[in-house]
Amino acid sequence: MPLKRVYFYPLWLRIWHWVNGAGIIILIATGFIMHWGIHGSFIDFNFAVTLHNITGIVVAISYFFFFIGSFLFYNSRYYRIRLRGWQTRIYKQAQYYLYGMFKGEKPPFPPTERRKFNPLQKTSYFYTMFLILPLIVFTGIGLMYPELIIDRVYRYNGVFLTAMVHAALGFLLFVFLLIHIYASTIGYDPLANFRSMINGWHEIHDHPVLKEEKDEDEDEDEDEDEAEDRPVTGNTPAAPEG
Amino acid sequence: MLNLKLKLTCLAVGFTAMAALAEEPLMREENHLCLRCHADQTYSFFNEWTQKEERRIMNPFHIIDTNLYLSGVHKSFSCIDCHSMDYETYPHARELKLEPLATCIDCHGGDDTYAQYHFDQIDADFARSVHAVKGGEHFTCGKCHNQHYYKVIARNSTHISDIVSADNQMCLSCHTNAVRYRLTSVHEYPDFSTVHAWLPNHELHFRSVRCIDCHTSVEDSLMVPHNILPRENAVKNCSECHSANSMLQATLYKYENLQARETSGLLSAIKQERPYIIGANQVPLFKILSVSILLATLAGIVIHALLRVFIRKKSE
Repeated sequence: MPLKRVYFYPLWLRIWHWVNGAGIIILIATGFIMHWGIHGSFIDFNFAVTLHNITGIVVAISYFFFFIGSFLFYNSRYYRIRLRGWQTRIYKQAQYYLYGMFKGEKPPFPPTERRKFNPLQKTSYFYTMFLILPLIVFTGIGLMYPELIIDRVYRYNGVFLTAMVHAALGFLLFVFLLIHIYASTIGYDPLANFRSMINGWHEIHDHPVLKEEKDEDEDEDEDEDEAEDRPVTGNTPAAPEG
Repeated sequence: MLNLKLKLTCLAVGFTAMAALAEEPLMREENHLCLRCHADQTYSFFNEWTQKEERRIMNPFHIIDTNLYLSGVHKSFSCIDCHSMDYETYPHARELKLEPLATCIDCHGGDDTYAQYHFDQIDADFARSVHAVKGGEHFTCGKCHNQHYYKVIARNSTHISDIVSADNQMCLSCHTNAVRYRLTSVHEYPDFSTVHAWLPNHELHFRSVRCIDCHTSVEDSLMVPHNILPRENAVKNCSECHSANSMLQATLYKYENLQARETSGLLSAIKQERPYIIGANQVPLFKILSVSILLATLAGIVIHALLRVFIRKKSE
């Protein structure tokens, strides 16, 4: 029985997330098939290209809605990175994932209503959502309409450069997706985060997070960013990450 | 003194101009008689019936572009080297219209001077082509290769786009023109766009590769294969080109004149003149790098998951 349930994922965000997730998987699969030329026997090249183009358009449109929604519904606040002490927080979170969690330590930055992501999540999501994805959409549009691309950039072929950037970013997105899916199993139970992304509610179980929230509510003058990035202290027993 | 200096300068300019003129290709003197009419859209003559000087419109198919002629391989030829001497009189005799024109092989066949061009092999290759089989004797070399303006582009050009454009122009001059198509074929004129509707981005394909890259079989011993295959035997499998082992390496990209421009190094593929082809342009270093990153990520995930399972079991 959870101690508290937080409505982390509103319906618009969940719809975007699953549409985007399915789209990215199709794009990665068809992208690999086309780029490595492994089509022919099991999938038609023409079909792979068409599917890649249609899915690319769907993902680009869904990204546009995510971008608008993030600012409209204040979702973007979860992606705000405070640079002061950023390295230390990243180091703490990485330390937890690498060996802290195996030694029974508690997560240094557990989710709260104000802090949805730990520093590693926040950083990777920020770069993925606000750098890689827009770049991949722009290069994708360029490759769909090659006449938009500059013919030559100095001695380099413009379309070739665009395609290389597009493929490299697609590959990075694939690596991110693998880690993202695996990291989602690090919850109260392996399926807890997947359930949250379906029903919208994140369950907080036995964890000092409740105490932390109480403290934050009492201290009204505390800077919100500080509170978001402040690690948990105390000797409360470890609880799985959400 | 000043006068002497001026004279010397004039002399130097004169020599320079003469040298420049010597390098410029010159039209053969005897061709001017023909070109007086055939280089213009109109021509005039004295009509002995009416006893008047008359001006008429020249048949556009009989107009010679002298600039193109002088840039072609046959620029040093006289008109009457190939055409009858009787054309020197006007009105031309009616039977001259039936004059059999020389084909490439009539001059170049069996001649060691042109051995490097493999004319006899080209002739044999062409004889197996759908053009020769269906078009018969009507389908002469000149139907594709305009003898007046022909340039050796595949052999000399360092730009793929020039080779593609010049080559495809030969095919498209008939295959997008029903009138010219009828010159050699009694078959129904196939609509070019409809026939190629299956090909994605066909405009982009036609700008990037030659028609013959799909419509001939790979021929190692010829610079340009001439065995045009029937429609049903043309390449339709995308992976023939869109793969690491692209057949274009053995066709369009095989020319040494193009390879001479290509550079070595990591980004050589991007610097080359070649257009980007999905699946065919792979940088080996990037491939190794991406596979390594992927394997390292997967290994990290598996080790982390195993440790989680192992430690959980231990604590239970």
